Amino acid sequence: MPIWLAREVPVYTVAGTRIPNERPPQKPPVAMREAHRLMREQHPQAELRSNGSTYNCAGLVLAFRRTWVEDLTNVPRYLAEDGYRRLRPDEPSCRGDVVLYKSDAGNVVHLGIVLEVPSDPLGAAAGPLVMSKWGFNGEYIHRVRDKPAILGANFEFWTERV
Amino acid sequence: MRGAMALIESTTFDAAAGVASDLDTMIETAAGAPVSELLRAAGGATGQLSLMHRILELADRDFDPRYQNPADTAITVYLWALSTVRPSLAEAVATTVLGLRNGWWAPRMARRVLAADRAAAPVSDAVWVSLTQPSTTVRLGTPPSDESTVYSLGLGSQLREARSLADGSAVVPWSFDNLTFSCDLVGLAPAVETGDHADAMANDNLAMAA
Repeated sequence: MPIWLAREVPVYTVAGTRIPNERPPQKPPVAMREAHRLMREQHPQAELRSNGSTYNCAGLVLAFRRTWVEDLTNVPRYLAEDGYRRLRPDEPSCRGDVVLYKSDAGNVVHLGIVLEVPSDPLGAAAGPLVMSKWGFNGEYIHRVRDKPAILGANFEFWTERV
Repeated sequence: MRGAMALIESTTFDAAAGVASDLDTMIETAAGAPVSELLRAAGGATGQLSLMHRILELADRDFDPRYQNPADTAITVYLWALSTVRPSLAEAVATTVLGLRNGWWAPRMARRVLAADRAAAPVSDAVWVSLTQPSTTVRLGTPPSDESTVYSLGLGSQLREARSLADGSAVVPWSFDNLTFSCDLVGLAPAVETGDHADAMANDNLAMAA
């Protein structure tokens, strides 16, 4: 029986915009094991939460792990249509907020969900704890800066809080 | 080139490139040392033909159909490299890669290659092929022989026909998709794969066609 059945699942913003997506075939187990070995070697503090490969970071945040959303360019628009707004630099983030990572060119290259915002000085220096999916590789719980460098050096937070 | 290919086809390379969520980031992630070596080696005709051959060989390889094609990453990188050094050859194999079973990045790269602006490419670019009837064994870069009919195969938008070089008039319906064994498409003779003479011959063939 095929691991994946539907190639696209219906995903819409609250405002009704369709979010294009495609559910990829699962990576072979040997590939996923090697991916985790490599990620653990490069990010020993990151904790593997799930090792599925049929969704990506945007699929996790926007589609509850159901699919892969390749077009990250429109993520700010999708979030805005879902009632999110970008936090000002002086506004603290909160559990449940979305973190958007951007390249130096300003393109969205990654996103995740804030799990915890430390209040103690040491924890605050390390930054919020984030849950995000690293491409085809695993879903990790990690500090906001502790992720593959290619996934953007700059980040901003978005919230739907009033 | 073989060393670079071994690295690019490894699960470690696949894992490193696996962090990307989009094609551009995937290529950026993959563009490390082995890919630089690959691009250097692909500067000559022999390297380009080897790349083309390897793409089709990997695309034809069996794998567990429950999972993603394990050659997806390698094929993507090879196709990208080929499109960088020789867009016309990349376009030729892109037709096959487009239908890669359980592929993800590779068909996307193929779509990009096929959608590239052909106006910028040499309009007369083509490769030499010989079709041995009726088994449709196709060779690229080999000299004409008595047993085979030699065609000038137009690439890109002209992919669907082959014109006899003998009189330039006989148009043969032909498509990469119609090949039973796609690997035969660039079944290089051993002499073409190695050595200066072989390289020169391959260069000559490509130059003649250009």
